[in-house]
Formats: sequence, structure tokens, C-alpha cells
Amino acid sequence: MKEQNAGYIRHRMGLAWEMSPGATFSAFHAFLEAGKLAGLRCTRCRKVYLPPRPVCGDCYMPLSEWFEVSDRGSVEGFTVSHHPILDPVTGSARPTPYASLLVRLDGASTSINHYLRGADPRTAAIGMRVRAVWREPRRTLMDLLGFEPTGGGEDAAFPRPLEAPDLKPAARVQVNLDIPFAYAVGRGGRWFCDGLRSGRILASRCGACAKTLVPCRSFCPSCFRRFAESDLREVGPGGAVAAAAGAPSPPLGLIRLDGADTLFVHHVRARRGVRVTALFKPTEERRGDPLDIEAFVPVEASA
Amino acid sequence: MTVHVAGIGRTRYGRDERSIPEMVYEAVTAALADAGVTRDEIDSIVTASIDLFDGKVASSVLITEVVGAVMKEEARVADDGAAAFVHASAMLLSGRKETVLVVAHAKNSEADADALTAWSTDPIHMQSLGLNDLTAAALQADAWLAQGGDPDAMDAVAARRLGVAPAEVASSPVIAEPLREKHRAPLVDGACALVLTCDVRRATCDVGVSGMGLCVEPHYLGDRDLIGCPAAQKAAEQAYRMAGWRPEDVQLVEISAQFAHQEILWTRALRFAEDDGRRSVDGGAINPSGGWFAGNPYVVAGLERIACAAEAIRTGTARRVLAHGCWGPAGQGHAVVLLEGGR
Amino acid sequence: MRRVAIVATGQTDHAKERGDVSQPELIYEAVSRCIEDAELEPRDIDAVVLANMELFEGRMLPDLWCAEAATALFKPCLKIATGGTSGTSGAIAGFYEVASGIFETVLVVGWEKHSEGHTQTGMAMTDPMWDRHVAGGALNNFAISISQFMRTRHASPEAAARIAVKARRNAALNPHAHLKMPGLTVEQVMESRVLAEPVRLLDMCPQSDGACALVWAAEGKAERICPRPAWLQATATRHDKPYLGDHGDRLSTMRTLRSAAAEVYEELEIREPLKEFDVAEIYEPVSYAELAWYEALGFCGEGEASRLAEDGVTELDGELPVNPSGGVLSTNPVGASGVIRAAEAALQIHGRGGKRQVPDVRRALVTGYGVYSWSDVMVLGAEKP
Repeated sequence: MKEQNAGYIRHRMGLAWEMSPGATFSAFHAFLEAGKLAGLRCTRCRKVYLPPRPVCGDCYMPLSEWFEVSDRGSVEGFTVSHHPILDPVTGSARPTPYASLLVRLDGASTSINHYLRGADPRTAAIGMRVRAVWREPRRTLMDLLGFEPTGGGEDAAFPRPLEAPDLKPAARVQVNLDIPFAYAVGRGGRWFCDGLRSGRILASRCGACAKTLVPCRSFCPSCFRRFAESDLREVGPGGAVAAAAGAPSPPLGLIRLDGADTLFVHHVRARRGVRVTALFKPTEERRGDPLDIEAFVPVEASA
Repeated sequence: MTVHVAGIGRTRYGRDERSIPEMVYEAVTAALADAGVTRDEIDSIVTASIDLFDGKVASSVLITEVVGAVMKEEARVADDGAAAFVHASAMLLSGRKETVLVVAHAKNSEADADALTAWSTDPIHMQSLGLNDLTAAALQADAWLAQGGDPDAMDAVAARRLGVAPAEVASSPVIAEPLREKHRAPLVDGACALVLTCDVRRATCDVGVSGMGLCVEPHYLGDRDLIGCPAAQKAAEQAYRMAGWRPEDVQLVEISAQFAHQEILWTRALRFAEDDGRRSVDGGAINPSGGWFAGNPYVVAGLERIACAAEAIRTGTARRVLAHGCWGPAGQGHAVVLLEGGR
Repeated sequence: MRRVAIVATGQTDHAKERGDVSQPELIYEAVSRCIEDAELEPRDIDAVVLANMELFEGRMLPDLWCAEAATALFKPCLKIATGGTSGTSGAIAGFYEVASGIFETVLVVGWEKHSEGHTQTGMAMTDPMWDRHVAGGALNNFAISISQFMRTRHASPEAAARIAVKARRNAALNPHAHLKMPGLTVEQVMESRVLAEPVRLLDMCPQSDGACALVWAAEGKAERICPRPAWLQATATRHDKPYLGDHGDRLSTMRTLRSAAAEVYEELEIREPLKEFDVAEIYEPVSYAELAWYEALGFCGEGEASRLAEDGVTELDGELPVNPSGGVLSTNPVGASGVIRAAEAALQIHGRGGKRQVPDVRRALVTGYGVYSWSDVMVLGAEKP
């Protein structure tokens, strides 16, 4: 991830989803509240799937037989991670080191990946017996805090059949994603952004198709010709609003800038047809991005 | 060799409280049953979905089982479902596959579509200005009005599709000038699946694919002819050339327009209103299904148009039909599929 | 059935950070090299397939932002995204589009610009109802599976380190590669920092910024563009279940790769892949994975992969050179990585591999790997199928 260097435009993804757990996870959550870890068993191949899911992928059979699996199991695989990643749930880096386990719960045909808890990460080993550690009350798998070492062998009592749950409409689960991105403006973008810093709007003149394209760019999209710095042309800052739209959000316009053959997109404070000019931010506030232009305003207002 | 639409399956389109795999499974099993084929007879699967709509990485992963792709070939087209349909048809025409399943899904009730589509606009020149599918469409609508577009026609299209009075459209709240709430199709949840086959013994219905076209326009809004919509024109030209048809051969059109003015623009770009500017508003031959305004999710809309067009052939409403899909800000990408009965 | 060949390739100079170019400019660099290399004009390309993992850079429909950099303006264009296999699946999609008879030439371009986003975080955006809060991305997932593989197949860290050394030494012969380490030793790999046990820094692929393009052309046209086209002889794809815990001892099993390879071997009557292929470009995101793929691809028996590596069988001068390009271990722009595999294999058949050229390549194996166990297999050859 690129940090605060010039030549990048940053956007923060602050998005939220209201995701449906659906019938399968709603039932799983209902069982969990009753203290049971529940999977779905395929009537044909008899695999017990955890997490539960609508269909057995091998048999293409819809799954409907609920079985309880144990909250104890065996470690099938593990790692001790020293590599912090930005957690997509929290948006911050995970502390290291930590041990990640792949655990086969007694009675399940699939495994679950989670953390080792209550033990030195270096003690993780294949075949180690572990038990789920919960935060009460148990509502979703977010309340599973990890697995701690435990004694004993495999519990043959699992899987054991469960009554099909009485399904109630499940509430949606909010899922957020709040992480930063930084996009390199590149060769063409750098010309353009440097131009904005000096209060100029730059376009590229294509010698082959005889068009002046704004914003300037590093190649012609029509004839694929590579543009050089010598192809740069200053256009505007005056022009006419060809279309204006968007209110109640900040109105956007398509602006026919003087000297350009294509339209420029930006904020406008004028209606369609009005002569406008670029209102630049004061030099010291410019950062070399499109928002260095505050908006296009009527020529009279700018005077 | 001819590709046939052998099976159609879909969920109800609306707010859906099921998970995505549960929802997709319904559409897939319905399509397989309609085609009279089993999962084992599917050679390949083409899915259409978009990670940000699903809020998950590699958004075809969680539907692998329900589309029957475990230990099979699957390709995800991360555009509209109509593009996935074109790709699936190309796979069949290669002669290496006999039966392909195409599936599209999205749940637009799970997140604000405009917040998501902002991430489809150029992050250098457009995203920070507030461009997204809604504001791009609003600019397009105003550009059209500037060239003499009739605001009443926009109201009339929306009113007809939604089954309300034009005055109700004209008095609905402004969402992005000049667009009002009822100028936009409802965004909902759902999945659509089609079974395509070139195995005539297996073709349970008599709907053949006669022509296809795909085309993309420039991305930067100021580079584009937002009114002429050349990508829609060119996609249609490819399809007509492949089919050997002319626009007047088409009896029924299913157009993917999320905004009322786009139905008018796409209709013209697809060469249907040249001699009758009102046909898009009054003619029953355009979007008898209600089009996107009947309520579709993103991604699914284009595949659903193809499904509706195929059904029109099945029911004998029309013999030659055109279905259209589009994606991206102000309709940057377009797909056109020509279907014919009785082949 | 229509025969189709790769007739041109082009790639960027891959690096940790290509801050000098935007995403479309990165693609432009690969695409312009690709078409100039074959003396093609943009108008000679009928349609375009793009391959990329959109969420790694936080994008939706990035194919629309980048299409014009791939000569796709006003042309048919779509994007394939299937995780790590995006590039090979994109290449296969391009093949089908030409094979359909609709197009004579199709350009495929894959790209990723990891420096602009958070790849491990993107990879951890798994099912929020199940394991998103604990998902560790490809690194942790591989490390867990490697612990199983080492136990089942007795894969040794030394053998894995040899793979890592081979990759970076080969990369030093490839002007486009990201990690070029001509003097790397097994000891250096085994002493490098532990990322996730037992995976050390030099066992793991880098995250690269890069793009790679190739052009498919139909028989008749292909021979006019390229004197020695790389014909697609067979291809197969297998996907598998959606959760990490669904795959058991996945590196040892790798049923998708075994099954896809078995299908193409049967179609081409290949019985001894180690002898019948002249070169292989396989998708190995971590050193140990290459050992696992040797077994799944039938280069050796179960538990014999370490010996194969230690005997140098897959070195550049060995019986079957694997990844003369330096592989994913040296260069990994995810959406491009699969396209790079196909392009590098085609380059070997074209006889234009420069310092990494293997003598007289008649048949090349290409694989793609993605998600937890998705596989693509392609066989390219100098002979028409």
C-alpha cells in the first residue's frame, strides 16, 4: 500500500452492507444460541458440512438434515503467523504472532479455521486436541474466540441428529469495510495534476485524429498513439456548460472548455448554456488533484 | 451450429431475505428443470456477479456449489449477465461444449448502489467529484434535454413501465436533477439462470440465438457521445450482421434501461425509433415485460431481458426478438442478443 | 473445430510499485508491446478479454476504466475474474471467443496493481457469517496447508528452498521479472524471515504491479502473424468448494489439478508428462506449492517431489524446465499472473524466450491456481491439435 507520496489520489472505502444470513446461517445461529454447533448432512454421501450450506457440491443434493457436531476436535493443520494484515472487519492491523488452526470438530466432515487461544502459539501441532472457547451469549461465529488445548480422544457421540429448527425470519447482519486505497495518477495524470497546481487545465492534442482531449492523457484512446509532453495544450479556463445535473448532491456539469474538442466533467455553479470559468483554490491549498478546482462558476461571478 | 436457450429459471425479484447461495440455487434448479437436464449434463458454467455488490472477494466462490461447479469448469464474467450470455454462447459455438449454464445474481437491498458504483468511476478524474451511476445518468439526461429531449416523454416512459400516472412521476422527489425517484427502476434482489445448448436432441424449446454483439464506449464522460450511445448501436450492428437481419425484422425488444431517458436513448441507438419517435413510449413491442422498471438487480437485468425475450418466443408473442443489456456509468458497455423461434 | 494459437505476447516491467503509471497506463504498456511485437495495429484486434481481481484495488468494473488502454474502444470487451485463476481463465475465455468463429483475433490482458490496495485484506473478504474475522489471506492459508503437506508427503524445507532459488535465478534471465536474484542460495532462503510458519519471506511470491497481454488468432490468420504460433492443444478447468476447511489436506490432494490434468493428458494421449512436455509454466504462489503441483501433475509419484527438486530435474537445464520465467514466485500481479504463464509458455514455443529460452520447445504445459483449490490447465504446442 502506497503511503503519502505525491502522484497518488486517495479514496477511503467506507462502505456498509446489510447481509442476509439466509435460512442456513439463521438456523446455525439459532442452534448456537442453544449451545449447539450444527452442520448439515448430505443424505447421499453423508458428509456433515460445517459451515452449513444449501447444497452438497459433490452430490448436488439440497441439504436439510441437521446434525450436531462436537465443540472439541483435532488440529489438522496450523501456522504461526508473524505477518500483520489489515483486518477487513476492524480496518486495523492484526497483532502478531498468532497461531491459526484448521480444526476438524468431532462429527464434522469439514474443518474450521480459527485462532489458538490460551496457549503459546509455538505449542500448536497437528493432532492436538482442542476445544472451542466462546464469548457468551453465543449468537454468531463472531462469538467463537478460538480453540484452546484440551485432553481426551475423539468423541464418537457426534454427529448426532437435531430436530429441524423452527425458522424465524433472520435479521440482517451489518458488514462494514473501511480501508484506504491510493491510485497512481501516472504519466498523463501527473501532467494534468501539475497543471492544476499552476492553475492551468491541460489537454492533449492528437496529431493523428486532430482532436484536443481534456483532461490530458498519455495515449490517444482512438488511435492508440503515445502522447508526449509536447502534445500538451492549455485549454479553458473558460467554457460553456453543456449539461448540468446532480442536485441535491453538489451539481456536476459537462463543460465545453475553450480550445478542447471533448467535454470536461466537474462541479458547476451554473445552469446549462451559461458561460463559466474555473474557480481554482488558492495556490497554497492546491494538492494536485481535480479538487484543486473548486467549481466552474459564471464568468460574471468570477470577475 | 445454433445455440438454443433450453431452460429459464429465476427467483422472484424483490427484497429477498435469503442468502446469495440460497437465492441462486432456486434460479439454477428452476433453469435445469425447465431445460430437462441434470447438473451432470452441464459442461460448463458462466456466472456474472460483481464483488462490491456482494461485499465479498471473488464473488462466484460462495455460489460454486449451488451452480453445480464443484469439479467443473466455471468462468465469472464481472460485467452484466448479458455479457456472460454472449461468452457462454461463444463457448458453445467453439464446438467444444454442448450445454452451458449461465447465472447472474445480485442483492441490491444489501447496500447503497450509488455508494458502490462510485467505485466504478475513474478514481483519478471522476470519483472525487461524486460521479456514480445516478449522477452520471443525471448528466446524461440533462445532455439529452439540452439537445431537445422531451421531459414529458421521460415521465411517460417511467409512468408506463411503473403503471402509474405521469403526474405521479413528475411529482416524485428529485434524486439527482433532472432525475426524479420514479425515473429510476427499482433496485432489488434476485438471480436469473439460463441453460444454453447446441445439442438439438436436448433442446427442449425452440429459441435459437441468431446474433450477438458486445461493445464498450470511452470511460471519461466528457469523451462520450452520451446521446447517440454508439456502443449500443455498434453492439446491435454486430448482432444484425451475424444474424443477417435488419432492425425491421425484429418484432419485440427487451431493453435494459435503469433510467427512463435511457430507454428512449437505447431504443433509438438500437434503431427502433428512427421512423416512429413515440414507439418506445406507446408501442407494446418494447419492454412488454416492464423492462428493468419491473424491478431487477444490477448484473441480473441484462440476462433477465434475454429470458423475457426467449419467453416471448415460447409463448408465440413474437418470432424474432432483440434483448439488450448494459453496464457501467451512463451505459458504458452494451450487449445485444437476437433470438429467433422456429429454427 | 477451429484451431487457435497465441501469436503475440507483451508484458510490463513488473515491480513492487509502478507508481509511474496509472492502471490504464500499466495496461497500455503491456498491450502496446504486445501488438508492436507482432507488427499489429489496434484495428487488427477484434475483441478484448480483461482479467483482474477488482477488489484488490477496491474497484468495480475496472474493465470499463481500462478498456481503451487495451485497444477495446468500441469493441467487444468483457472481464473475467476467478481469483488467482483470473489470468488463465481469461486466456481460456479469449481462446473460446476465437474458437467460436465470431472473431479472428482476440487480445487478452491481465493486470493487477497491488501497490494501490490491500491484497491480503481483499483475500480475507470471505464469508462474513463464517470466517472473515479470522481469515488470513493466501499466506496464512498456504502455511496451514503446508503444515499438512509436509506431514503427509515429507516435503522438506530444503526442497522448497531449492524451488525458491530456481525461481529467482531464472527470473534474473527474464528482463520483465520483479524479483531477480541471480546469486540466491538455499541457505539464504532458509534464513529469511518467517512470515507464517513454515513459510519464509523467500518462499512466498511477492505482490507485484504488472500487466501481461497476448493475442489469440484463428488458423489461417495465425500463421501470417507469427512464424511459429503456439497452438492450443487442450484445456480444462476445475473449481471446488468455497471454504478453506472443505479441502482437507488440499496440497496433497489437489483433486482439481489432478482431474484437469488427467483430462488434457487423456485428450492428448500424454502418458509421461515429465518426458512429453518440453517446458512448464505453472502457477506456484509459494515454493511448497510447486512441489505439490509436481505430484498432482504427474511429474513424479506421491512423496517424490522433494527428490525431483533436489535432483534438479526442473531446473532450466533439467529434463523438464519448470518456470524459466521465474514463475509466480518472482512476479505476481494476480490478475496478470495466469496470462504471464500462458504468454511465457507461448514465447518458448515462438522461440523468443531470450536468455530464458529452453531449446526446441514443441509442447508446453500451463497451469493456473486460485481461491483455495481452483485449477486451470492448458497445453500449447508447435503442432496444430
